[in-house]
Amino acid sequence: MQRVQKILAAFAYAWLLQSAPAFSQLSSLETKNLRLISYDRSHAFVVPHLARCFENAFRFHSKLFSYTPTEEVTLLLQDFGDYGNGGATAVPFNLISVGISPFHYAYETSPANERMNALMNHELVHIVALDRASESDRLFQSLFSGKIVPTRENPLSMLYSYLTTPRRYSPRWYHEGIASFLETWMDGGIGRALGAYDEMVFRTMVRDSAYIYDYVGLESEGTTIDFQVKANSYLYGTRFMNFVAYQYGPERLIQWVSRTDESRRFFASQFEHVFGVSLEQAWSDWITFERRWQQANLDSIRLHPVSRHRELSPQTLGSVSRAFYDKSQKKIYAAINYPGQVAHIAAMKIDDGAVEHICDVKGGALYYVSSLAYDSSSRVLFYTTDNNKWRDLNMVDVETGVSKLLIQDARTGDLAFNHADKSLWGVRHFIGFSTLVRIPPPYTDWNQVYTLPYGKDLFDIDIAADGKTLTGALAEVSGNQKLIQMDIQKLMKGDHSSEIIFDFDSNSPATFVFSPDGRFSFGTSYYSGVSNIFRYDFEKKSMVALTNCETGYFRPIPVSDDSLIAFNYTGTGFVPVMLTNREQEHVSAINFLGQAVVERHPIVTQWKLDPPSESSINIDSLTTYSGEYRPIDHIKVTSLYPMVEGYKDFASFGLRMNASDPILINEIDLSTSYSPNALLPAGERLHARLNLHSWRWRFLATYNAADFYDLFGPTKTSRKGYSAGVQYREFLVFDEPKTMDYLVTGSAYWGLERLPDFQNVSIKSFDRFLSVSGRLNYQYFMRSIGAVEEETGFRWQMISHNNYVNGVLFPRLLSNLDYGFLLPVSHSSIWLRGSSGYSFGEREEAFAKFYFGGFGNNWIDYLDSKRFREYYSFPGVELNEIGGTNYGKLTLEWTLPPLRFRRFGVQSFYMNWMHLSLFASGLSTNFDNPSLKQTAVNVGGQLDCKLVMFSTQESTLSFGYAVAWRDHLPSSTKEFMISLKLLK
Amino acid sequence: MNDKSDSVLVKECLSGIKKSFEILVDRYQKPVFNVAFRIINNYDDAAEIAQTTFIKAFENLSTFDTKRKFFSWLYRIATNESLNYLKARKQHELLSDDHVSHDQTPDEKFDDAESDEQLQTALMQLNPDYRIVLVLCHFHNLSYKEISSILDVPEKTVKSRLFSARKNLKELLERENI
Amino acid sequence: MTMTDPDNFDHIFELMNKEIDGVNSKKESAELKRHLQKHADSARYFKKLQSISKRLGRVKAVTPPSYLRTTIVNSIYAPKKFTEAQQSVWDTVISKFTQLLFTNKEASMEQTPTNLFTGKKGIFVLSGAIVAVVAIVYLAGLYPPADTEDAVGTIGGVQKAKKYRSEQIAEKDVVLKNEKNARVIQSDKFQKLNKNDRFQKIAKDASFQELLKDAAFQELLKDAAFQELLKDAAFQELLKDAAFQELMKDAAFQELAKDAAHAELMKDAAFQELMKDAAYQELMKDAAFQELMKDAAFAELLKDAAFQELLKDAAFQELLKDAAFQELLKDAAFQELLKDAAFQELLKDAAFQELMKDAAFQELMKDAAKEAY
Repeated sequence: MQRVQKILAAFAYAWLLQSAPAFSQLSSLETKNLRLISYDRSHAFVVPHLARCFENAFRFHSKLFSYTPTEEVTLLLQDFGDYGNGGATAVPFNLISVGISPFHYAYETSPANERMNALMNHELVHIVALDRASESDRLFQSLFSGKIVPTRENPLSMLYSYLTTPRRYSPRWYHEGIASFLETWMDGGIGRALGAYDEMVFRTMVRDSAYIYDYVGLESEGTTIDFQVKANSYLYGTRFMNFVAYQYGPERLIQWVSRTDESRRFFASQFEHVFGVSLEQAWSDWITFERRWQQANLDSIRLHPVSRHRELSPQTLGSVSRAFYDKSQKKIYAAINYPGQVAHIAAMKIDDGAVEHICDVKGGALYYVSSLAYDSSSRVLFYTTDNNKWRDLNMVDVETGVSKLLIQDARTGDLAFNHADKSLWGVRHFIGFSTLVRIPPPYTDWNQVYTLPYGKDLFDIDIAADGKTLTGALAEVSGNQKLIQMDIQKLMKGDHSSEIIFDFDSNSPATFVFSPDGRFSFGTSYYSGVSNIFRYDFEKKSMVALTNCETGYFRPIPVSDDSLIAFNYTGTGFVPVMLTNREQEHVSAINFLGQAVVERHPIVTQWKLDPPSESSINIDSLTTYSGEYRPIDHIKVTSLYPMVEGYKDFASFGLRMNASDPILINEIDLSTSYSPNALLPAGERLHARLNLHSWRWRFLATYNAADFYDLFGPTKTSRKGYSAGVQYREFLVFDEPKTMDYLVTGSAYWGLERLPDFQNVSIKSFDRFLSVSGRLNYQYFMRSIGAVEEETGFRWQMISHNNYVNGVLFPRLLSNLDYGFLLPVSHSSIWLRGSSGYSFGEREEAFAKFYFGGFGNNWIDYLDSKRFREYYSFPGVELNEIGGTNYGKLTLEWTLPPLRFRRFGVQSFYMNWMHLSLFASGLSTNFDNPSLKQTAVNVGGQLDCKLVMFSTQESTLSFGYAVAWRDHLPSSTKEFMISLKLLK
Repeated sequence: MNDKSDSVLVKECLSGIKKSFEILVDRYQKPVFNVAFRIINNYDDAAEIAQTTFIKAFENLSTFDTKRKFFSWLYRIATNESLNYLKARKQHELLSDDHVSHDQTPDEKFDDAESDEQLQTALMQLNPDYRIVLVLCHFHNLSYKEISSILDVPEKTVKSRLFSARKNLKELLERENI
Repeated sequence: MTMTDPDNFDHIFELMNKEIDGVNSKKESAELKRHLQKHADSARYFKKLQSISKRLGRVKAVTPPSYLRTTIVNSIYAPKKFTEAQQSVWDTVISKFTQLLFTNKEASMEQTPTNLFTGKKGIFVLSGAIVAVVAIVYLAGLYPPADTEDAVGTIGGVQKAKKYRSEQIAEKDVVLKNEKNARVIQSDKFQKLNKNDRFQKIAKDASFQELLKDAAFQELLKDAAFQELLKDAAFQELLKDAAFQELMKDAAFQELAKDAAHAELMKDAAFQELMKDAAYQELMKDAAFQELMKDAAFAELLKDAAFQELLKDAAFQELLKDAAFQELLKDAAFQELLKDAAFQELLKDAAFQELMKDAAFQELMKDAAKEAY
């Protein structure tokens, strides 16, 4: 859900930032089960096909799961990234987001067949698994008017959410596992259940006697610190599903996942109900089985001599890009990404393995990091950034490390350098097509060479040293892949004919590169089930194997006639190795667990979907509407549930209603409650809050505002009186993680007794005022794999608060500056946070002052847990105790590496990590008046513990302690804080 | 499903077609494994014994008399290996429960598993020679003659051991109130 | 007889067991049956034996581990190691061979085996020994030949992994809407154009949108010559010219543009040269000439073949340049004379034409003109 929300937020901003207004209009195609929305008319060509794929998969799932959806599925077609993806949620709406771009095929982690078909097969499994409801689910959905989204403002919504969609509260491995498992059979054998990469990962673990996560540890540690991060959910999930299917049968697997009337709510309870053993036991059985299975595979490989290699680095490099060897310097250049450091380009000396940092890579991709090409004559590397969005093309001098942006949003990768004419070649992804492009010097513009038909893709290209031949891997609609070659001269004249070098069938011909003399091409393939290196002889037109590897070799670089460099897969990442360039006579195949499933349970072959052809699915006859889509026309109530709030020291009971459109562009949130306590004046017993959100605008109105967390204190946000405000937010720069935005808010308050922002400041001379504030924010933060928060970067804010009270304007201006950098210790950073402010009002006036004090956390809270970083916080001192019309504050903070737990709890409740921050601050107010000047210093720390309940409900338990000294007080003051932040 | 007889497959294998032996493996791996398992009552070691049995059979295939039944010869190797194992181990073990049976409801699986476990416990208390004939007769439905051929003892000895095995087993089960 | 009878116990017990195994003869079965009917304790005993047998028969076979087959097959295909017997044979062969080669000649003057390896004879013996060794090694099975079946579906010895694969989605199953258009916009030129502010402005214009739909315009866009024209800087300037824009709108000009002869004239190289001529350009601008061009009689004259021939005549072209003749053409009396039929006849007369050329007559004409004026 969070991922889909991020996509929708990005969609909203990207749609509004479109520089081609001719294409910016939402349109939809609707059938009984589908609402397919696209925002760009240039995507229209694929809409009918996508709709057919949806209907095709939907029919299958309806039958297999006996599934009747609670509502139609909204499908958003987008082009936010150069590589395709998908995401799905069923809360509050059935929603799928589909990226139009081709997939990335690194290490065969994605299928190479037609992607819309594959995506629909996969994503609809998520919808079914989440949306299929039992009778009791339907009852609660009816009672609460929908599927509840848990919100931190009303934590009771967590309970309601579980009652309406219990299967949402299962771990990611469960959802991704069943989706990948089913997708494989629906696609006729293409998918992770028959994935060579998956076999390699577990084979390597067994070989190295590595720790295989249990199902709690996987969520706690395995999906966060491993260089494969969230991909572990797919790996473990699919593997476990394969095992369960093998042992118990695929039909019982379906029974486990189906939320029927007889099923148990919690996914683990349902497992025990279906299989008669606990999930924990079954997981343990799987690990035992896996060790034996992979041992047999290792025995198979060892039938013939295993290749020997020399490791070139004492450390693993995490994920690694295509690499280049500089013979004169004896260095390898590659982009790398491993836990503890942000993605960067590095040079590694092959003599001693020393790694030098050349430059950072903004937006490194998970497996391939960045696309690289090397001009050895100028000693310049070309590389891509923003690899998860629209790629930018850059260059860097490997000597100086000075980099330069060449083409923004080039959307081009798979780079190859033509030494003959110094041009750069690549494959561009734009609106779902792959285009071979040429970028001549000075590399500021690209030219189309050849656009492939939709569904075909070209990747891993290389150009011979003489500049005459280009090779690459060609993926067909069927998923078949071939190594091909093309004549460059012919290509320049518009002749894009190609010659097939080798047909690898369903195996990917990966990263085939020319030898320096052009006589050979070296690459890898999972032909035997293991990724080994192959060499193609252009003269003899023959392909031979060079290695017999236990784990896998990737990305070979021919170094000389008798040796080559490659990357060997290990459990912690890739290690560069040196190998002999010699033919391997025999290589045995391994067995795939998925193949064993097929042989033992041939029923999975009956799950093969027929293609979504025009003859079988007439989308025109199914279409109920085709035309403009206006989100505002599709707003409906998504939930209505009882709630409890706090108002001052009293409890208040009421209802909350949410409404929105399916793609969450427009949202309405209305709460009303009543405090029955007679101690409250009658005029303060009724409470209401209205929150409207549409695109960039937000409107908020309150009456005697109440808040759930005021039930727990000490911070109180409930206030007597009225307020109405409007807010507008706009991005000036949206190049994540680099953004610049401004926020303007105008509010009116009346009937007040205290200041809205400072609970301990009462007001007597007025009860109403107007407020206009603005904030300009620029930030550029980065984090490494395994981080729990941002670890390095910069933020600058300029904030203006202006209050208009009793005919007098009180302007206040403040500025914040944060700067952080990573220490040599992984995940440990130093932060410098500075803030200063000036108020132009009279010192006696409450509105003219800034107030400081306290950690600021409530015992039960929903705002940021690390509030000690806010400019108005000053731990060790009471809330709002220090005031002034001007101030300066400086904080030095040291964040220590988080302590992650492999297993600290049970499936339904466990602790993920602990994170300690230590800080010291100095504050001074009223510089301009020595008699009123106040100075304070403090030291303290905060320990945050991430807790996870029911797989997806994250909360943070915080402990804080600080000691403060003030200049006019004889002794120090202390503060101890404990706070539980619900939902993140 | 391959319809070729064992003797044809053996001949093919002897002429160099190793794939024919794989068919024999597919045909007999489960019964050979079960012979070993019921005699020694250890899942992992039974797999080892099954592996050794087939390897020995393959290596000595040239010595096999094709007039005899292949499976008898195979079982003979398996029982000999199992007995050697027992001599080396000289201990009885309880049934290991890490095997999985199929197509049963959890209740059925539980009842049968418990019953099988009790029986196996009792079996392990029998003299190995008695146990073997019981296993070959009841679990593999072999005749006295076939068992005699496997164990290379007279039929009379087979009967004597089998009947005594049943008697002893009955007494063991009665003693345990099973 | 009862079960407690030790003499009969063994016999009955045997019958019971044989009955369970189904090998009793009819006579033996009947005997057992009679005994059981008479002796309840025997019957109970037999029932228990039967129960145990049935229970044993219900025990389910245990499924071996899934990797067992792989492990067995792998072991079969593993390279063979020496057995002890083979090692012994090999050692013996090597030992003997070594002795044959390296026995000390001086130790004995007799025909020792080493003598076999000297001279020409020695070569044959040595070769034979080598062959024998190789044969022994091969037959000992130390290097079994590769099973040809192992090489099926491989790249030079690489065994292909077995993976289920069913029929896949094909290109024919992927039916798109206007894919061609989508591919067109992949072009770098189109994308640059699309970012151009001016293009964006005109793209919104309704008349431009109509023009794009026009079939004729679409044909024009394909024309190579038109494409060249569009690049021409002068043409680009012309397009901006207000007068040209007016001309384009003019219906008469539009008709003229359709005329085939006009099209031919436009292609004519000489006419193109004329168009460049400054004097011609001046003439075109001249208001009187523009009036003349509108005159219907003059339009008829231009079509006249004889007049067209006259226009080509070099002498006439010279005459037209002559200032005096230009003056004469303005003269009203001369214009009247030209209309006169008798004068027109005189002009055709060959003798008169000769007279015109005569120098004396020309002098006489000049004098007459002076006198007239």
